[in-house]
Amino acid sequence: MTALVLVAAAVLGVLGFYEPCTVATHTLYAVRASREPRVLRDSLLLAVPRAVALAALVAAAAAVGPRATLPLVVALLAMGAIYLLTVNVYLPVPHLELHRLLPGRARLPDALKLGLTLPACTLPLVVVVALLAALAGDPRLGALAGAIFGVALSAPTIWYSLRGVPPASREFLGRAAHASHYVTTALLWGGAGVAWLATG
Amino acid sequence: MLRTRAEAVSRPLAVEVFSSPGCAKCLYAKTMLRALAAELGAARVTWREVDILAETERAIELGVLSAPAIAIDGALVFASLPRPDRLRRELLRRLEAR
Repeated sequence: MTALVLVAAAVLGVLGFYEPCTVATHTLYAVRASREPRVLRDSLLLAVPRAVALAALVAAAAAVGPRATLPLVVALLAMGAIYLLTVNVYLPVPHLELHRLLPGRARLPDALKLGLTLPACTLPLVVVVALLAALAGDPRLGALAGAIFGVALSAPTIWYSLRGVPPASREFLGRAAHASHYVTTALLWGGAGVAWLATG
Repeated sequence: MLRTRAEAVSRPLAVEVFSSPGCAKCLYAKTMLRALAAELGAARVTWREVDILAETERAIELGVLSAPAIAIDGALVFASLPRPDRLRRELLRRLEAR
C-alpha cells in the first residue's frame, strides 16, 4: 500500500502539470522565469511551499483514515463526470488559492503565488492521493505523499524554467493538454472503483 | 496627427483572446466574443484567438499570466475571464470614445 500511495502521488503530480488549466499558466511562468537571474531561488519558492501545503492537506485526510473513504469515493465519481463534461462545457470551478491566506499577498513573489495556487483541474488528482492516504490511515505517509505530489507537479515547470521551452516542447504540451482530460477521467473512475473494492 | 486620428476612428477594435489547448473556459470566452463581434459588427470589432503555447512571446509581451485573457488594441484589459456584460460595456465604451 505504501508503494502504491507514493507512486500514485508522483505519477498524478506530473499528470497535474499537463492538465489544460495548469499547462498554460505554468508554461508562461517557466518562459518568464527562464529569463530571470534568480531562477533557482524562484524554483524553490514555487515547489517548497506547494509541497508543504499539499503534505498538510493529504496528512489531514490520512489522519481521518478509512472514515474519509466514502465521501472521497463519491467526490471522485462526481469529479470524473465533471471532468468529462468540461471538455466542451465551461463550469466555473475556482482554483484553490492558498496564498490568499498569507499576509501582504499583493507583494508576494509570482513564484510563491503560483506555487500556492492549486489549479481547479488538479484538485481531483489531489483527492485521489488523499483517498489512497486515507485508506492507508497513516498521516506520515499522507504527508510524504502530499509532498511528493507537490514536487512532481512543480518538476516540469522547474525543468522548463531552467532549460527554456522550445517550440517542439510547446507543441507537445498542447497535445498533452488535449489528451489529459480523458486520461484523468479514466483515472478518477478507476481510483473510485479500486477504493470501493478495497473497502468492501 | 489628424490622419492618425482618422485612421483610429475607421479601424475596428482589435480584440485578442488568449487561450490554451483543451481549456473549456477559453471556449466559453471565444463563444462570448464571437457573439459580441457579430452583434457589434465586423466593421467595428474584429477578434482573433492567440494560442498561448503557439504564440508565447505575444502573451508575455502583453503580460498575460493565465488563460483565458483578453487584450484590446494591443493592451491586456482582462487578465481573466470577464462576465459578458462587462466585456460588452468595455467594447462599447471604447467604440464611443473614438
